[in-house]
Amino acid sequence: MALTPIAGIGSIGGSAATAGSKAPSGFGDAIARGIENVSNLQSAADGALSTFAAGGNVQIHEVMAATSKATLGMQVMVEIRNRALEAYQQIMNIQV
Amino acid sequence: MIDPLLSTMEYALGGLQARTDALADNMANSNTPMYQAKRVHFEEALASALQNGKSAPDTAPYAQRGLAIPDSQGNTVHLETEMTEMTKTALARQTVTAGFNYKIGIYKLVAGK
Amino acid sequence: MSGGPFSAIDIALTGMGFAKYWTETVSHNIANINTVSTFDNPFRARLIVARPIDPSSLTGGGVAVTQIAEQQGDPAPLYQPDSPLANADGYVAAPVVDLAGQMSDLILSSRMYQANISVHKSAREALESATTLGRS
Repeated sequence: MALTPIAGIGSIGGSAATAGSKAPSGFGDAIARGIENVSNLQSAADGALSTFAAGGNVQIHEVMAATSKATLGMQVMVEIRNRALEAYQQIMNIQV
Repeated sequence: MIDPLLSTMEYALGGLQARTDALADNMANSNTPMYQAKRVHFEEALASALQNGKSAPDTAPYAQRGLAIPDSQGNTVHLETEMTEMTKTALARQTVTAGFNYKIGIYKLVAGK
Repeated sequence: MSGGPFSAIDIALTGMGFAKYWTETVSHNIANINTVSTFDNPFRARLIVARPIDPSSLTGGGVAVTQIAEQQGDPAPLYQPDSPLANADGYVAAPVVDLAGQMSDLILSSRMYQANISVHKSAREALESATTLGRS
């Protein structure tokens, strides 16, 4: 019994690799930028909080807005991490 | 390992608690002759510690007496001032507590709750 | 003085302090409505003069007492020959106090105090709601 070879996988992989090298702003870059954004939001929130704690000239609503933004950013990032992990596990479970 | 901001906020909460106690003492003594109102200071020490790259100063908050104009009995407690300081202290504590919860929330989020 | 997270509350406090001082001054003036003295040194009502704090800053810093003036005018003569303060003709100097003006100042100062309490309360409520910002 002759099995038909699975064709096309190699070419798909090849095209994906070339696409990745051609466009530098891929998924990885987007993630890196996202992480940087979240990191900036957190430094802003931490800075506002420590300034406020030391009696500095920062308004309460500024502190609260900064911490809310940082929390939201972190929630989004954790969610993306969870989805990416899920996708990775789904791929790993594909029966070949 | 512990987040330096948590230590900063812990110090601030301690200072705010000391201030609340001092204000309560002031109000209780609003009719005591020769009583000089206490003012708790910690922000200046905290600010200079932060500037020197430390998360909190080594010194505890301290109280200072006097500075206000005394009434005919030599008492320097002004109830309006004490009430205003009380309000400000409560608001600052609410904000710092919210900051504490924010920081803990971030860690919980990363640790997967 | 101005700026900072609690400037609205602090400014209201300066208003309260001024109004209290004003009320105390009016109280002093009215308390001395019968205080007679010699003509060279009659009792004169104290009039406080307000000054804005930090008026050039963005929000201003509140109000302060800048000086205490004395009510001008000649004291009315009162015939009290038995008074040790009486002059050779038997007259003493009545206090220089405009009672009607002091009564209206009393109403104004008490309204000013209440108005600043309202500002204080409103600012506190605004800041309290700010502390719940971003919390569901």
